[in-house]
Amino acid sequence: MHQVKNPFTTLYVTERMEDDKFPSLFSPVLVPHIMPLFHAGNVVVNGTQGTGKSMLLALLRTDIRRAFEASRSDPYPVADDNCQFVSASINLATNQALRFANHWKATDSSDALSKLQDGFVDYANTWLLRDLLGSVRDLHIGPSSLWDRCAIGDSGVSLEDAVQCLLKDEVIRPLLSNSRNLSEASDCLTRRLDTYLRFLNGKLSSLPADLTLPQPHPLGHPIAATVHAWRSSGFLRGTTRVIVIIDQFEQLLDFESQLQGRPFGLLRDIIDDAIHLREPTICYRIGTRPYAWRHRKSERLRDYLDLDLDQFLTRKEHSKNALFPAFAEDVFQRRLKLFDYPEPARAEDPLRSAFGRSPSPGARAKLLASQKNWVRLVRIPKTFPTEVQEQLHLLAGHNPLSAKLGVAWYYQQLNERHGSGLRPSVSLSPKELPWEEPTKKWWKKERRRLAILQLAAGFGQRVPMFGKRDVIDLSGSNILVFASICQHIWTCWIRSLDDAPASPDYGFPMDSGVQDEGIRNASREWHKKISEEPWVGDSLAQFIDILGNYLHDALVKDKAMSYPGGNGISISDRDIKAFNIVDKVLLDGADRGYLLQRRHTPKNRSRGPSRKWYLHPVLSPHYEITVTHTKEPRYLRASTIYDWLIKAKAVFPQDARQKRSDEQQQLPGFESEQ
Amino acid sequence: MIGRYRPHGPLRWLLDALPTHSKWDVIGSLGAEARCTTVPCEIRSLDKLESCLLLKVRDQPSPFMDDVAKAVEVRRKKMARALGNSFRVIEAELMSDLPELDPIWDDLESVLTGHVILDISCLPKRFFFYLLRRLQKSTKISTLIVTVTIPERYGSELSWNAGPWDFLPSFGREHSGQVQPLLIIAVGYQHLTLLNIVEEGEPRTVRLLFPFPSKPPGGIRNWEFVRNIEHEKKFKLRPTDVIRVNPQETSIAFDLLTGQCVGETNEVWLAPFGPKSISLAMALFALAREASGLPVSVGYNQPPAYSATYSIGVERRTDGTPLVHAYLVKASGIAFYTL
Repeated sequence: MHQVKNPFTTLYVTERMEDDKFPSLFSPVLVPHIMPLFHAGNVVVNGTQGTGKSMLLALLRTDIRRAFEASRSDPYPVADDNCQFVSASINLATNQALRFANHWKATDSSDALSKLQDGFVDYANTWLLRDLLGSVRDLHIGPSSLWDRCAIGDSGVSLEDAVQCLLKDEVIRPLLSNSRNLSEASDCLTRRLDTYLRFLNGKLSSLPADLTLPQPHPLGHPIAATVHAWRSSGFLRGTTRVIVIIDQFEQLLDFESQLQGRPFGLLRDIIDDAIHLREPTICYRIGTRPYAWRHRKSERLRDYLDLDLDQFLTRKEHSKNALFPAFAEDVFQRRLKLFDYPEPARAEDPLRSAFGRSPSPGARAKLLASQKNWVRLVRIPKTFPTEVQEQLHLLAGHNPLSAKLGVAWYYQQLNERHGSGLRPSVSLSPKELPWEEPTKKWWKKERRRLAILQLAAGFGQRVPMFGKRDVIDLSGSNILVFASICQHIWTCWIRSLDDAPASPDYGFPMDSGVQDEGIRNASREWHKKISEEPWVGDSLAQFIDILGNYLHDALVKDKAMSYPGGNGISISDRDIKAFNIVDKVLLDGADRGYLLQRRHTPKNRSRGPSRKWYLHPVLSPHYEITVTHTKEPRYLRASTIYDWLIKAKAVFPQDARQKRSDEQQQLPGFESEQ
Repeated sequence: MIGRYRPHGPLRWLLDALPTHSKWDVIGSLGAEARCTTVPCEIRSLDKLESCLLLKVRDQPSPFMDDVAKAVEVRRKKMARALGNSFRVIEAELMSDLPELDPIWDDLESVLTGHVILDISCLPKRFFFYLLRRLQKSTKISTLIVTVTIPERYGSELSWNAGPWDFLPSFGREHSGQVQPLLIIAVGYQHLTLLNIVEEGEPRTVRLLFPFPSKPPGGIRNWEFVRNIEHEKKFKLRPTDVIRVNPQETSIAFDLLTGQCVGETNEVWLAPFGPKSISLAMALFALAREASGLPVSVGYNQPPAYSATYSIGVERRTDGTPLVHAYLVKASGIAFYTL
């Protein structure tokens, strides 16, 4: 029996997937948008968790380039003339360099701090140089190597000669000692790194003399010296770019901010300075989450180009040309292909083939109860005039969604009359379904999802979610969330199979109930992930729980559906300024991708510039709130949120970290953050 | 060496069984948990207390801080009533690393006389792992006992805003090469943010030390932990990868760790999330493996603050004496836990 496999078991392409599978899983959909990565100059790749930063930066790594070279079916997604580069990379989450920060002391003299900074820089330089040597070796070997094809350098110069020419350089010589070849040079650098690690572990009371350089080098200096030496010797062409990748930059900020009472930002500033200096021989590529790349000394456009993945993946309101659905579709298709799933019946639309169409609003409403219960589902208020009740009763029998919208319509009429001084008991004449008139098209459209939510809540049900549209909407332009939803749906689907699917198309589309279960599991998992966020998890989870429950209650209780956009909140910038802690918590949520933050122009202009926040759509099934963002969000005062935070013990008066956060947030540039 | 007898048992029994009748230096903690006072008071009541050095570890600001401060004051008063002025408090920050820990050790070592009881009941891992290393290696220390006092029960909320996976001070990696370690996790109640380990370097193999038997409802929380690792973090576990170990059996846990790592010359990462006695086994195993020249690291998701009700009360025997497990780690300068 053919065993059915879950193509989404491994979510992260870069961290957990073998290199040889990368080409078949990598989606080139984003490549036209990230071409600056392959050009000269510094680039900051900015994005929240799951937007694919590391995956894109991996394209620059030599092991990945070679994996594409070896692949018969998936060519490197960038033309050769853009590939004249070599790279060296350092991942700050894994390479141990941050451990230098643990050695700061509050009482350290500036001289002692400077020595530790020098140690960090030397460690990072050594790491990068070792990686560059390995990178060059890997590009150079093989008969039809990338070295020649991409015109990186002169293959007439041997690798041994390349190492020898480095030994003549005053900057590099102390690092490579008397290495005779590439292998010895690499070993020499490894010994240097390991000595640092032993020092950081307390095994050496001080750094050995042979680690002390005559003069400490700034970050990138040995790489620049290497490039000069190689260009002079002809080993490297003058036009070849040397790319230095620094990934997981946010780790610096997270790590240093936890070291209370100690100098802050010392490591982070080193990298910022390197970008600011604009060393012409090096093109830096920084992978970071948005919050870590604020208030830099380096300047956008002048020192670096910003690739904001969130910005170009996020669907623009009212735009049909969204990039994310095509990206998700391609990722989906590649996963299925790698796991030997047969070509979907509709190759041009594999998501629809697997998940089918999401139900229309009317059909979704009808799924909430059997037909005999549709009238009960609508819960027509007994306070309405009898003729109105009768009208809605009749309507509910065949169209519960329209009847629910009718309830809201009449509530609004009553409210209006009440507001104008008329007695609410005044009889309403039941016209021919005024909310169904063409002029009310938008009124109706904006309230359909809310109506379904209220129908479900009133009947003790949850809104069923399935189909392509729902999967895309719930992914919130985040490819990791998308893969996670697919993974959970697949798990439920495999569990539901008695045997391997007999038909060649696997019996797609999958059963809607199975999809619904998978989506709920994914939503639960993402909710659980909030509390796993390092350093902020518990407080953030408490806050998001309060917000989610508030939004749910407000949406369900809004019988007149006056706030169909009430699945989000808006706070004016002026108001929030007085509550830094509120801003910090909202930023914590947005930076980690659990909240979506947008600028907001409120209808009421007197509020001034505002920002609005929504829960990430994947959390909507968990909190049972509507998914789409429409109309005006709920206007809230920052003080209300502050009270919530106090009530939930998510903030406390003596929060010393807050002071630090306040200092950062007062810096210029904050107001323009999206 | 597997199968070696390493004396351990109730504290009073172990003290009686030892040939030495000297007095003891107790290194413990002054914290919020009731059990932090047990060992110093016990040793004092037996008239065997030479000195008592208590680490008062300051957490970072958290919602627990007021309750913790009140509870610590209660413990301090109890300690003062029982010990008079014969104890000393050394203050330290929870997130301390080597620059802070080294001076603390220098201070402690200057006072120690040779027979030491290290009470790890309420000491955070980043402190007791480090102190164990120093005590084990110090030639000044002839006898070393490690104690763990069992609480009546654990609280429902243990800690706050745990950090990412990071290596404990002095137990970090010492190899800059590519990582594919064997990861051994001691199963506890809170998985915290274990996923970071995957991002740090995909473990080649994962094994779990599962505390068994576990006092209800602890077992349920332990299985929740396993479920999280298996289903949500996608580690593929075989039945043989879940290794049961008695939560008080440090010696057996040490042997199991040794057995799991026979022939393993690559990196081994230990994640001590489980009971204190299993964490102790991991600390001793890491020191033993390191002494054999084999690569080993120990990491943890350090929370910046712990709940005042991390544990509640002290478990007592039928005769009313507190339940304190004592492990003889070193006697006459000879370490018991070696490979």
